[in-house]
Amino acid sequence: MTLAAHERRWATVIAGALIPPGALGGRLAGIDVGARYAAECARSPWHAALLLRATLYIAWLAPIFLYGRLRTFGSLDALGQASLLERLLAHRVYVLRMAAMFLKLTLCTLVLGDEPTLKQIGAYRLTG
Amino acid sequence: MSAARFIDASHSGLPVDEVDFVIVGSGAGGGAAARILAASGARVVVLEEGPHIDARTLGTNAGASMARLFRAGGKQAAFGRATTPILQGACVGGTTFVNSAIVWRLPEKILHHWHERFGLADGLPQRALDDAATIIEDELSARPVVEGVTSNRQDLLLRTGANAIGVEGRFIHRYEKGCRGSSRCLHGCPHEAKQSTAVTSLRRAAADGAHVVAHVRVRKIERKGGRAVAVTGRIGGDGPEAGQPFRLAARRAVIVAGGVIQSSNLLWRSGARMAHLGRHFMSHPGTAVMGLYPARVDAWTGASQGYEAFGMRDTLGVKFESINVPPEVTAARLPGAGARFAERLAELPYVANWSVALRADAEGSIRPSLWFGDLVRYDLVPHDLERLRDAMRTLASMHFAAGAREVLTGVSGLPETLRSPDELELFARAPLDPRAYSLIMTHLFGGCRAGRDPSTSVVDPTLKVHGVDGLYVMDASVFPTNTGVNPQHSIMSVATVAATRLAG
Repeated sequence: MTLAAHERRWATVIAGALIPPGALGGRLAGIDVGARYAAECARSPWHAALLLRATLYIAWLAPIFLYGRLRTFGSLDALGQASLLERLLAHRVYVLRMAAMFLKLTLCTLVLGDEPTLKQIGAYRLTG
Repeated sequence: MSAARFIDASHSGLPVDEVDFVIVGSGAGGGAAARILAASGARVVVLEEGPHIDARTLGTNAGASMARLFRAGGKQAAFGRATTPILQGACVGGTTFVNSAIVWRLPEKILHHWHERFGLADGLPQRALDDAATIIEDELSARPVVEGVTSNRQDLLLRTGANAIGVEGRFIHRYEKGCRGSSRCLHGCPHEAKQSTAVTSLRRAAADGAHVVAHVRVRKIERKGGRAVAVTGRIGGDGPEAGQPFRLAARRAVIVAGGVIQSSNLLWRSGARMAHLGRHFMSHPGTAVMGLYPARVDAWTGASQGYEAFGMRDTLGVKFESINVPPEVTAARLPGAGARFAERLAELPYVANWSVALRADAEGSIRPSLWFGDLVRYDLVPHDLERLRDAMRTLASMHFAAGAREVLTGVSGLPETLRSPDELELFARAPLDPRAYSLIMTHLFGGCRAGRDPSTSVVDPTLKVHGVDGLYVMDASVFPTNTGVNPQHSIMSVATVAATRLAG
């Protein structure tokens, strides 16, 4: 499943809202999350890729059904975006909560596994 | 010599078109059966759907490794009121390549129940299983984690917490030889120190003449006159042979050991229609309770799993383990988003991650699906959820007893964090709803359960499929119940006993 350019951009924006660029000593700067998200979709079974894609739409369009405003995720400021993600992650509707959790897990897996980041965390006795 | 017998069908096709035994699956069951049958002098081929991975090519990035090693890239799930991820290895070595190699013999109490309730005493006698377990422990170098060598602080904290509330425990016994404490068992040991079947049973089988063939997807078992005579399917991977159909004949028997979900569905696709095929799917669903400590824990050092507290196995039906889930995955369980999440990320080195594995009473089902390939339905029953809730409360109390400053509940409907033991009573308010918990399943059982009565089981006590000659199932799908302990050792022991009988 191939992601459209706007979907790649959404993935990058949402990742930046979830994990601010300064997190973990700024080790996450420069990662092309959109490209990694697209690659993840491409190598996943179609149903998982569809879910990966759907989670982007849920997050991007969440202001409409959470706040009742004709806004998108991208139109919110950084604080508003983080707040929206938190609301989705704690939502009482299971499908929304799980979609947000799946998105968070996917983004964490895509951006936190690089060696410099793992070194920052101190994982696997990596040094440097 | 034996290395040449590990073949990638995607590049070179199948090396033979007829053998004595075709074994479908290269994990615990398939590996153990191959070892015995090849040693008997029989001609054996082991077919594996996934790739043969050179462990040295695996990096520290868990996501990249999971995409290569796990079925559906780790995105397989069971469906019910909640969606529960299922993790299964899909490479040469099967799940033994991606588990923590934890050694537990099949509990006598469970085996006794199987003997009494399902009539398995003749097929799986205690003595034969014990003998098999002893040999496997020797061949796979079973040994406990050593304090100060392959343990980490997370393990010692669990010991402290368990001792404080009187739950018996021990350093985990694992199959390993020369473990360097890389903490990467769950996404492939980079030093081949973990003794998966890929580096033990299958290599021994290959040395005795067996072929281990990767990238082969078996679709059907061919039958003729009430006897299994061959398997058919297509070659996978991305080499020049990919997509080609194949047929491999079995002179003496086809042994299905593809894992609980795949074995049931292979029989179904092959026309088997026993009333209980695909039923009685059971598991040990698990979840983690994380503690944040004042000093660094540095969980991602040492053995991936170093300590277990099993003292509540016979009462609450749970077992606790320390576990180094990769940091990327652990991070996702930290609360918040944005700046609040960034603050939490900085605390990752201070996190101790302990899991509970529940011997659930729930039974689910397995069927092939046009859309998903394999469809697993599963729902915990209320009694399971009550025990899970009690177990999580116990884990939280152990964290506080070990000095945690915060405990992350991970339960929807409860506060994100507890800051004192006084708050433990909040667990009583946790919903008895599977959707409130972040569960995962790795230990799977059933679907082709064994039994003497053909009307209530799929295979007989010798693990031969009822009514079909020359067709056997040798993995955890034949287990009539879950076991309450990590299953690899039990699967290998059961397969060893069955294969030894078959070898004659």
